[in-house]
Amino acid sequence: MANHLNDDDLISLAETRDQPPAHVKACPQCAARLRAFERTLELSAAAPPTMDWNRLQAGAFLHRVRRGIHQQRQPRVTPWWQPALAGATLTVAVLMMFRVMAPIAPAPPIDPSPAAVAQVVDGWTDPQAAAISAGGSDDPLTSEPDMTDAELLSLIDAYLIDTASEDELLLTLGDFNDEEMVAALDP
Amino acid sequence: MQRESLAIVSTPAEPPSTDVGEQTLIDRIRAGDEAAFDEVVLRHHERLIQFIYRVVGDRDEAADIAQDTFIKAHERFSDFRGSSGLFTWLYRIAYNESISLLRRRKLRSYLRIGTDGSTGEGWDRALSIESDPTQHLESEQLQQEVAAAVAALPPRQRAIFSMRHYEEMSHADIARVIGRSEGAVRANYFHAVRKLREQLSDSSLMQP
Repeated sequence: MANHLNDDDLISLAETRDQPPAHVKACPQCAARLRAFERTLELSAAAPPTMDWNRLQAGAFLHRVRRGIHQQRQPRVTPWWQPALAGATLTVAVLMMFRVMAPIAPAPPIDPSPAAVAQVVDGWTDPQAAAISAGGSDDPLTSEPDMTDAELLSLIDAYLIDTASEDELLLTLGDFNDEEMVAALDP
Repeated sequence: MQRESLAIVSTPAEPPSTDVGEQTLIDRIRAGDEAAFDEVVLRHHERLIQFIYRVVGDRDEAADIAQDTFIKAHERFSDFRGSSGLFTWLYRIAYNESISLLRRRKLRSYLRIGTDGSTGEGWDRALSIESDPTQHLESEQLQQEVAAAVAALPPRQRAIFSMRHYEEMSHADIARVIGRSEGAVRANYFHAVRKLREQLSDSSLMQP
């Protein structure tokens, strides 16, 4: 029999209870399959999985829904420490960021006056500088007792240029006139 | 004889929610009338809970999901366009919530952190069928066997079978609820019936 109905057709027939086609009436195999599907649907309809429910529960359920809607409308209450913790964390993060990214503070302009230089030299602690400050004779540069102020300033300038940072040098060069600039940059 | 006694017809579905009363309720809700929304809850909640229960198989979870369904419906009522019935729209929310719950439950069972160590289906069997006392035992057996067979279906097929067979919803409405084509709904429904037949084939109740 080439005209057997497939399961889907038989299920549709079982569901609608339409008159089966002639083949199903004549074919015991298809008739049995149709009967099995009809019985399956009958049993399922006879005992649907059902949850007990009554009018009292209906009232309570409506109350639950109302309460849920009300709670959803309320602004959420957050613990007091959460904003405080968030603020503290943000502050620390910002401070650390500034600490890492802060530019190097520019050096104060160098005052080339003798008094200022003397004040700076007095603060030096390395032996050579102390010797210069004290007018010691070990250093050939300072052993000249008759060194003029200009020579001394030139010597100090050379020292400062040798030991200055790049930023300090640039700032210092900004104070020079053209000739001094050429002289300073010319090796 | 036995067949006749068991042929209890399931509660027919209400007509699609396009009647004037429902439309009036929808208009009132859109106007901010809370009492109208309460009316929708009272009108539809029981059928919705039964549907959810048939999908998730747990009474408490069914009630929780139904509650969430109405809360979400209230929150998103402006999204309701009225292209389908209000009840179909509620079904859609409930279906999505139920499937989400089943996925979470399945995940928990995979992770073995379930509270009862069950496989995750956790179907509890209600025995609320109203029947002749002389047929009580038979009805109880039937109830359990049908519940077990329905519970053995994959969640989507279970939901489709419930909507089609118990709620008598059209394939088109079911397609709108689950967001699939009508063809997919039909295919799932036929699969479900075939599996139910296999599940129930050993039952003595299958013999008329």
